[in-house]
Parts: sequence; structure tokens; C-alpha cells
Amino acid sequence: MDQLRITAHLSGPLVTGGGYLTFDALLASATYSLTQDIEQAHNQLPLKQVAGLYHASAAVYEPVAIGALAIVQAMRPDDLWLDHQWLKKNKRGDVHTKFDNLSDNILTTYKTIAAPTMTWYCEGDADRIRLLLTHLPLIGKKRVCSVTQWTVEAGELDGLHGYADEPLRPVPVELWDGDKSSPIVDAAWRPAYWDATGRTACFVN
Amino acid sequence: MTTLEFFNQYFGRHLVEQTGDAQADATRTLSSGHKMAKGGTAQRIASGWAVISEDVSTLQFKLAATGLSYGGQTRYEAWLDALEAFSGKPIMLIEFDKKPVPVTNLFRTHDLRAVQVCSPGGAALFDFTQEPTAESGKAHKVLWKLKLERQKSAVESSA
Repeated sequence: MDQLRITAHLSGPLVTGGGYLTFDALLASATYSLTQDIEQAHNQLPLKQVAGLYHASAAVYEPVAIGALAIVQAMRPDDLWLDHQWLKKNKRGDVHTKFDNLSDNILTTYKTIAAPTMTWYCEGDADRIRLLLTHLPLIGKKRVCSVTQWTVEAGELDGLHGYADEPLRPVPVELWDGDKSSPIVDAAWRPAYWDATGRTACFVN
Repeated sequence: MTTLEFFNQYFGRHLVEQTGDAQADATRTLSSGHKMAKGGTAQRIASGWAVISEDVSTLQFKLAATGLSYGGQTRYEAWLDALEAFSGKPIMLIEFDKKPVPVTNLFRTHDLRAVQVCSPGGAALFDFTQEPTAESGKAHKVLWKLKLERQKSAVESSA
């Protein structure tokens, strides 16, 4: 495992869900798309992992603009491709089908970040990471932001500690051995990041 | 202790039976009906506020449950009381509304530099050691204004 710096060159604004966009989350997404294997996607990434914590930073970027984007969700209960077992049911066990065309039914506004590049630091296997990144042409909560080029090069950080010993990603309080002046917040610290049961007190920058 | 374990330990267990599934237990606390102090049918907590802490958890909605404390302040008065008394122990500030608060919107406040106010629409995060800016959210602005009013009242009453 080598210390690496990963850079994504972006074509346009990235939709963020307010999370940290850690590099292991990106690789987990690509791995699951390829294998449909949750265990592999969450626990067998080509990154150094200690006590469940991946040595992979959150996204580092300099925003040139913050904006908003309204997206038509396009998921309707009458879509043929959509398996009804995943949809919320009413008390009779039927899928809610009375969707109308009101804007609040089909549009959701998301915060966007415009930045020419995003960078991550990690410790991992460069060749296996390069391979997975070829399967990540789009990133963000809603995949509307194209990555025009991924670069993987030798880095100088371990994916956890920054140049001033600050946390580069959410790290549980009991696992953090760096500078402790950063605020503590509740955050998910390993995949699946959307799962609220994994949220705990973490140091973040 | 995870966020949801904290919520269930200091709030949810007073309202619903705990099954060991932290997410399911927290969801039932937030979305099912509970006996009211005034009697009548069980009602979901659909208005008011809560301040959850290790010492005592307080809410505005008058339920029959014992083990919880009940307060009549406005939400901003209650949250400011909690923030001014903040000792470093985590607290959880919640705003209830007709739509249930999803468990994904539950966050604790561990530090006044990263205060979280949880609501059905999300979680507002702000630095309460800094004055709000024009871009700051409503909770930060209102709490800061209330804090200044209290400081002004304290100075006037001591003069």
C-alpha cells in the first residue's frame, strides 16, 4: 500500500448531499456497480483499513461557486423497470400511485459545488484503484458531474492526517490520534455512509 | 455510543419498548403515537421541540410518559438555555412538525462550534461561537439575536 494523491478533473458543478464524499465511498460505489457484492464494496477495497477505518480522505477542493440544481426525480410507481417491492406501501399494502405533476412531487433542489478539480489522499494499491476509477465517469449525490480525467500519483499524506495533523475525514473520537482541536460532530465513518446506525462522534476538519 | 443509541437511551426508551434495533426503535419513537398527559387518543409528537441530554431530556409536547421533563418555553428559548448551559456533554436539539423527523436527520451537538438543530427537513449546522452572516440559517440568526437580548437584559438589570 502506497500513499497516493487522487485528482478528479471535473466538467461541471457537482451535486452534494452535504456529506464528506470520502474516497472509500467512491471506490465502494464503483465496486458495487461491478460486483453487486455489498461485503466486497464495504470491506474489501484496495485501501489500507485499520479497525474498520479506511485511510482515505474526504474530498478536498476550492469551490469557485456554490449553486443549486433542481432535478426531476423520475421515479414513478408506474415505471415498468421499478420493482414495487422497494416502494412504500399504504395501510392496505398497495403502492402509492396517485402521483400528480405538482412540482413538489417530482423536483428536488440540491446544493451544487463548482470546482475545477477535487483531490483525495489515501493509502492504497495504485493499480487496483486506477482500474476502479475507470468505472467512475460520474460522481456526486446525483451523477450529473462528469470526470474528464482521473490522475493517480504518489502522495505525501496517509488519508487520515493533514499537513497540520488535522483530520482529513471523519474519524471516531476513540480512533483519532492527531490534533484534537477540531470540532467533534456526529458522522458516519465507514460505508455504508447513508446508514444512520453507523453514525457516531467523530473528529472532522 | 452511536447517535441513535443516544437518542433511544435518553429519550426513546421512555416512549416505546426497545427491541435492540436502534433504527427501528428510533423510527417508532418519532413516527408512532404516544399517550398524552391530558388523556385521549395517542398522538405522534407533531409540534414543539426537544432537548435530549444525559442528565435530563425535555420536550414541549405534553406526553403522559414519566422519565421525561416538559417545558413551556419557545423552541429558541429552550435551545438557547441548553447551549448556554452546555458543559461539553453531547446534547440533541430537535424541532418537531407535522411530518415526522427521519432518523437520518438526527445529530448530536458535541461542540458549540458545530451546533446541530434537527428537524423534518434536515439538520442545520452552525458555529455558535461566531456571529451569523447574511447567508446563515434561521436557527443561527434567531438564537444569536436572543442571546444578545439576554445579555442586554442582564446588563440592564445589574445596572
